[in-house]
Amino acid sequence: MKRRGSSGALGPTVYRIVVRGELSQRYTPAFEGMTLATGEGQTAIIGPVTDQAHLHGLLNRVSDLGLELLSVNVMLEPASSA
Amino acid sequence: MVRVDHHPPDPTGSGSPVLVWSKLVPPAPRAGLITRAGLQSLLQARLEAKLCLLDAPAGFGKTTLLAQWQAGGGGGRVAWVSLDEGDNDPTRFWVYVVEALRTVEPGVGTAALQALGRTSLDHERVVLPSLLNDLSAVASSLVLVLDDYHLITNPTCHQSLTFFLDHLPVGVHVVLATRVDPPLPLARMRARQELTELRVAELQFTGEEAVALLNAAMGLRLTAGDVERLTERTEGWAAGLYLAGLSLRGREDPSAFIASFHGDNRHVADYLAADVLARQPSEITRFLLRSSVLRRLSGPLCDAVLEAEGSTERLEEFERSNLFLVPLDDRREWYRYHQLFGELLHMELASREPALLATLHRRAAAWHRTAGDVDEAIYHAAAAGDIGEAGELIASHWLAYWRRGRGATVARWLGGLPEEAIAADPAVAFVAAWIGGFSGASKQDCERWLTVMEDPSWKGRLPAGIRSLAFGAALARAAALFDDVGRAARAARRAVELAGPQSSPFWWMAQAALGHALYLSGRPAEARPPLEEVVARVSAAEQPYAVLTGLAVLSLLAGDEGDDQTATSLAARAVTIADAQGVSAEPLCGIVHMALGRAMTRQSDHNQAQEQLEWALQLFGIDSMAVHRAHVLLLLTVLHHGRRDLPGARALLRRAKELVKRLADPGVLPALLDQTTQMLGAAAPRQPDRPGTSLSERELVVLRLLATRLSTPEISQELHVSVNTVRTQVRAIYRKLAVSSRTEAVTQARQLGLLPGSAHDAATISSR
Repeated sequence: MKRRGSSGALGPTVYRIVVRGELSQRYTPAFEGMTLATGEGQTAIIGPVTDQAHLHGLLNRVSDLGLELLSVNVMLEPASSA
Repeated sequence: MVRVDHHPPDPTGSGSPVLVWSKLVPPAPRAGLITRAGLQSLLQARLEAKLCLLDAPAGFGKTTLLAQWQAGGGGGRVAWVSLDEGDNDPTRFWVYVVEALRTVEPGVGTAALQALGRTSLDHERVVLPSLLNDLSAVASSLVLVLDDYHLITNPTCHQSLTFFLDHLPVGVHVVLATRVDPPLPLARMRARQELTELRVAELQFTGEEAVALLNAAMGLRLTAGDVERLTERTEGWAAGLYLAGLSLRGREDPSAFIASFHGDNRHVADYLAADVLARQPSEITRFLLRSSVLRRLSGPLCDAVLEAEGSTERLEEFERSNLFLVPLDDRREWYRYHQLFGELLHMELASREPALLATLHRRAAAWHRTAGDVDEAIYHAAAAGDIGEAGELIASHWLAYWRRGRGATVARWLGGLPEEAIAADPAVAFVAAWIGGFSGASKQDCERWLTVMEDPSWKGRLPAGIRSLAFGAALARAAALFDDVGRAARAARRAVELAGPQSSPFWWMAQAALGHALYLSGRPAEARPPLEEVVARVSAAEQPYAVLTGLAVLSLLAGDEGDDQTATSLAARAVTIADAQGVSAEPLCGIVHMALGRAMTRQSDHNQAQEQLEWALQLFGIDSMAVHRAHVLLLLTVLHHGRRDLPGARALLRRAKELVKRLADPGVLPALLDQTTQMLGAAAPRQPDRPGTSLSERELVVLRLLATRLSTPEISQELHVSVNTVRTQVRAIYRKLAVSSRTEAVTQARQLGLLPGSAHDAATISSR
């Protein structure tokens, strides 16, 4: 995750968090700013993550909601500045 | 500490923290749930170890298991704490633990509680030892249950719990229920067989238990095959099974439902919760959804938040029909939602009526505020986006909490506000700068908050204890030196001018800070008066930091003047006070340990000095104490030099030098740095690893004379000593230089730079 100064990333990194079970759209507000995509018994929570604190906040929500975490991957690094 | 049930009385303005009794009571066991006898026996057996960990995600029935086990007499005497985020404040954490222990053993922890009542302190040195001593004297065994330990994230809490576990007396057992492995030394404890665990594998419902739950307890009449399909689909997840049971109530064709559920890919809770909610009368759904914003529910609170009536009866009814509700005590006054269901309800509400959330939180904030429950009021105000309200509560109550060692709680309140909100409110910004400065915030962050305070147009309320914004900003800059002595001195002077001893409890701190800053600016004569005034006029109980700073700096001054006795006695007095007030682990008190360490160095009590100075260095680890850190490094250098640990001394000196270079205004430290460098330079020759490094003064004198034409008797006459003395010294010189003649000695000495001239100068002496 690229960092600059004390406030966080150079630009948000896009993460893909996969949990077991297909979630209805009711879960969308719980993961503000992220998109939920379901299929094959899983749900991918995809979207821009500002910094590590944000990422861990999302993972805590996953745990609080009793969801089973399957994977966490970076989808897109922010473009580095010249 | 005011003890209340859950309903704190109207505030009398004391603003001091209250003890919520319901946290010390296990949730009452509910009808409609099964008793898992097999699991309870397992738990009982596993209790032989010091620590038993119940470790599984939400909804596996950990709390229920423990509550039923306790109600059934398992574990004997059980002390219970239901933890929440607020217990990340180490003081609050230990208060609840001690109070819980006192419910089963009334005599323990009296001294510990007293210590906990004072400002933020070092639990491992002050509180826990006395608690552990009390526990070791207990006649029969007892169990301490900490439920929801995953909510504890503060490393200080983990560290102190580790200490507690390490020294736990025989006969005391701890059970932690958590959703994640806690950051405690589990591997070590496993190896020593001090740890047992009940994890998902043990907590999953077996087929038999599922039958007991669904058919016997919940009154369904499912076939064996259906139960098996449900157990498989939910993977024995208690919450899932329970939701399935609720969903099946009153269904005509349960098998069909189960078959389609079994084949469905949707997440269990999502599927079932939606279904269960849909099948409730709308009245009930409305109540469930709206009350889900609350962390704890009571009839009156729900009435207020929902703007309804009869919530008390409704809650009792819900509990009877087992709808997600957990009573918090025997009196059925307070409840909470089972965390998972509460989350689901809250999500559903956010999905259906997002605009309503703020309103509900606002009503909750108002109710809690009237009830005097500051913590809940602030939580709800912030959640409602009512920054003004939250800010006002923080500004009014911060001082009472900080004074009682609850700085971490205040930090949590601040953490619940968006940064722009803090930046818009000078009073809150002060609290943020103050709390932040002493817990590791950077200079930039603190400065950002302090700049907010320079808004001349602010007509709003001020933070408790602060006379004016200008005073507050000046005080904060004076007390947290960061890297600029000059700035701190100027700020301290300004603070002293802006207020008077009567107008703010902090005025004495400003005086002490002024004395300290002047000392660091190399103006000892000016530093004395404010420091002496503080020490003479103020009691340590009222203003511990001011008095301690005063004593510590006066000790340093005495040491500078060579009055080691006074230096030692002042520093020792300061340390005694710090321990008595329980503040010896605060960064602000590092200076006390520094002063004592320096005094001990001069008394050549190296071990004590080392301990004190290293403790000070640790306390000064935060950004705001950079200048102090450099100062301690220099004192440590001197200590190591005194211990003849030259490599160590040099390493410390390098660190000090690096640090001093980076300081914006290091005051008198560069001069001290030079002095210390010179001292080290004189102690070590240019090639420290070569022989000849340990020649004494006398031997050096003789060596110089060896380079002349003088004979040994002539040398002895020159030095007014006997010939034998000179001969002994010459032998020692030869030995130390690893030579065997006068000529060689002179050559070698010249090579080592102990004598002027090059080694090749003609040796003009003949050996005698």
